[in-house]
Amino acid sequence: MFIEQIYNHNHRLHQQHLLARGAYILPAFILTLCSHSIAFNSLIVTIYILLIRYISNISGKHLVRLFSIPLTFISLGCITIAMHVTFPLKVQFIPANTELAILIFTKSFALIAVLFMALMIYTISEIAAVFRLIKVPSLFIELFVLMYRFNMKLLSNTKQLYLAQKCRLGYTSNKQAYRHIGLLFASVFQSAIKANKTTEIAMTARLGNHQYHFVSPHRTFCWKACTYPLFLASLLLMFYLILNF
Amino acid sequence: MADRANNIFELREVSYCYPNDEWALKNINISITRGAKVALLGENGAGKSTLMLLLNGILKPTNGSIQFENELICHRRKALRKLHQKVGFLFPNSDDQLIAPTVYEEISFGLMNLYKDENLTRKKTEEIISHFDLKQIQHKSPHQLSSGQKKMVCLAAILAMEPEVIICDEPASHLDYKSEQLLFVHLDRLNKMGKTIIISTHNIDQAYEWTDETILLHQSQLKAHGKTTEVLSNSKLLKEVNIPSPTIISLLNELNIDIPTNNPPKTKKDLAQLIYLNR
Repeated sequence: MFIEQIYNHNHRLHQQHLLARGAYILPAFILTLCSHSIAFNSLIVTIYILLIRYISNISGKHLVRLFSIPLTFISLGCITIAMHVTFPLKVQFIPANTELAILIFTKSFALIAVLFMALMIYTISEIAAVFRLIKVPSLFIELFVLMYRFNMKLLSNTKQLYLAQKCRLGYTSNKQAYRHIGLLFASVFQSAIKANKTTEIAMTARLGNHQYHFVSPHRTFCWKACTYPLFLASLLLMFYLILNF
Repeated sequence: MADRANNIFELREVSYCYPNDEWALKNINISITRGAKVALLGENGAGKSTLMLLLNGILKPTNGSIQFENELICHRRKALRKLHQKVGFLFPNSDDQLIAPTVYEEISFGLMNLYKDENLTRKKTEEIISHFDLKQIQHKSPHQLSSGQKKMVCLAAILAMEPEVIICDEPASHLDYKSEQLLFVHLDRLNKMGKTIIISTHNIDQAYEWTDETILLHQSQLKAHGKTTEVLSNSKLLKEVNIPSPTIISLLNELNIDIPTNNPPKTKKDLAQLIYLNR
């Protein structure tokens, strides 16, 4: 799954400098935010989905599953904007509202694609370092890193406990399945909380003191690494100017 | 053990009670020799892990006192920082200890907390990575690694802080034979460099062959503390605490060969020689 790939951090750009990786994200993010063109937003979606596919080697099926969660919510919101319901029950699509809904949908979709890409190419420690740089309160950074750890534990614990349940003939009938899911959630949270407590002890033993300072290997910045992202950014800028004005 | 100046830890009447009023340790009096390899033995729930956490300063004794390098352990933040730097702790489950997204960052974590200097941290991290031969996996996520590799990363992360004492709670848990051997080779090397190693284990043969001192706990109390060969060749004592005798001792008992009190066989080679002499 994508979340595992994020945690594994074994994508094609992992050896690149922070700024070179940032060049893939920042221009596209700003241009998408400013764009009023459905065509430009769609172009961003296409390019970034292809990029995520190429960088992470994630399968198309997983990518669809990944995008389906946020897109479901966005679609519902956009349909609400486009639809006009009158009494007695009559559903109408108002052209102006529909156009706005499609614009919102494509823009949100494009922003999600860019954000997923950012999530993919930055490690949690790099994101925490950026937070520190922009003076985000340390409590939030701590929560952010702890959530990362908690998710990790939750993920592996859920897998193990689910398998353990299945080995003991769990989930054999629909009626049982609900009960077993409930049991799974209860035990997963209990064990994840316990494991996190141990992790906190382990961090204290290494002078952690609730501060999450990691050091990455030093990577020298070279302009050559920025060739592709800058080419992409200039291409996007060109399309932005053509399609928005 | 009797020479006070040579003791790295001294525990006097140490007791620990958990918040649920359960006594994990009662009136423990022990001294741990500097540079020794110490085994902590006992059944599950005997208090081994609690004792280890007390030595590291993670837990504060309910009663009694613990001295580290002839100084009373103080549980103030600054004093604890110093203690945590000098006493490294290796957890039984490596996943509990691994927090960073990459191996490199994992090793840098303790160092950065200690030195607060990125360049120095990088230098020390790279040194320890090459020492432990982790260059191939330095950019990998620790969660992708095998159990043996994870254990090595955990050990490297602790050793990066240059501790005097290394406490290993069941170091061989989740490890295959090869990884276990490799881990103990590293621990041996560290011991030869003068580090004190304290391990808790259920592998009685390993404890017998590898350690110099043994602390035997039973039902939260100290049952015996002394030279490993003396404590673990006492079959009657081991039976009382539900611990089997080491294979070497059992074999000698089975063969009705008297165990030499001054120099009992410690390795399989010693055993073979003894059997040969008594044939």
